[in-house]
Amino acid sequence: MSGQAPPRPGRLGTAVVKLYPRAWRDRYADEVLDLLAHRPPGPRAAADLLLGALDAHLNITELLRGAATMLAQLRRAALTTLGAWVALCLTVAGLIKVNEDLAYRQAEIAHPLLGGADATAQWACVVAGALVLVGGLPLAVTGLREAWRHDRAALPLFAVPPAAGAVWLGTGLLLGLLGRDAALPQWLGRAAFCGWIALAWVAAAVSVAAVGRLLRRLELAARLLRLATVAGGLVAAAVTVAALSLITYAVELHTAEPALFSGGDGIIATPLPFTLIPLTVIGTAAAVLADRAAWRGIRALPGA
Amino acid sequence: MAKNDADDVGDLGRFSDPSLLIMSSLADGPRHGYAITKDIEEFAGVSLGPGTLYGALARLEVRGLIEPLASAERRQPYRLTARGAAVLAAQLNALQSVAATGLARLATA
Repeated sequence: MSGQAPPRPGRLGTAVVKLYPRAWRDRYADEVLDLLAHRPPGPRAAADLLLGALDAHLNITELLRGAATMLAQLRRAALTTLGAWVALCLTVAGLIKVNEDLAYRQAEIAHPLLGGADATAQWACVVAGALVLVGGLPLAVTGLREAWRHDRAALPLFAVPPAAGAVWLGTGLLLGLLGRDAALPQWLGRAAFCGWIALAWVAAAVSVAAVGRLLRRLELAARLLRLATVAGGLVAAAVTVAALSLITYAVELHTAEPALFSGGDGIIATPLPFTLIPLTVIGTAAAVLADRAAWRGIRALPGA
Repeated sequence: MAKNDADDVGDLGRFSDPSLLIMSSLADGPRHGYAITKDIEEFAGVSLGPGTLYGALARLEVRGLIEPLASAERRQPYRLTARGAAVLAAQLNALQSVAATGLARLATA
């Protein structure tokens, strides 16, 4: 077998399989085409396939009941894991913001656990992002193709995440320019900064909601959802590592540098615990959600 | 109980016989579609068309009598579930009883 190209289904078989309902093809077409590749259909098998297509059109709800449940669980797991990762990214970005001062850099050098926790949280976020791409990119490409062919009204939803990101970045740039060129009162500057942070969460929520709509709306191949679920399990593990690092960072800062911990380096110069503790809580909640979603998704996989 | 188990396959209409053959094929281990077709040809001399095979596989899966196994390949192996094994046993016992009765009556006729 080695060195030989895998057998391919003939034109007749491929053409007849296209007569089946799309939802049925998403679930079974790969298997049937594999069967037809090993055994090209004669007239009798082609007629049997045609009857099967008619049966599938008449009984699609019954035939896909089990598969539909599984796919719905995989979709939910993928979406929750994505949402948890996005929430974690914002949380880690918050940590980067609050410990950007030199005093924190020096504390991280003096206390390796502190520096290690900070670096681990950031790297776990990056690794999780790479895994999100591994699981999500094939879904995005296939979804885009599906929407282009069968549901063009869904196409604007693909533009929501980049548009939301652009609005947030554009607002940040605008506020930066205004802050530099115009002497804004302190309260206005702080309000604008808080608004910009709130906008980040809104943009993230709108983006995840758009992805959720797409996941529900488009017919996506089960094998891609299975790949996303496996990647989602690894994302959940990375999110958990990041959340544990956030907790470690907060505890170590409190233990090793109490003056920094209780200082006024929180958001808009509030006491740091008012920012650090909510960040830790959000990160932990994201990890719990991601782990639960990944567990449910993996349990829904065939053979699990 | 056995009657209900047997009804799980009996209510499949034209897919009843193919379902029984598929479950019998899966009784000694997981197989994918092509392997099931070949196995049935060998032990029963019946050639299942691809439309019939997947119509029956989908119905058996929905009823929880078989389940797909994780697979990285295009071909998807299936295995008999515990419930599927019980249903198959009930169905085969019922057939055996019919066969034994019929044969006995022929012998005394």
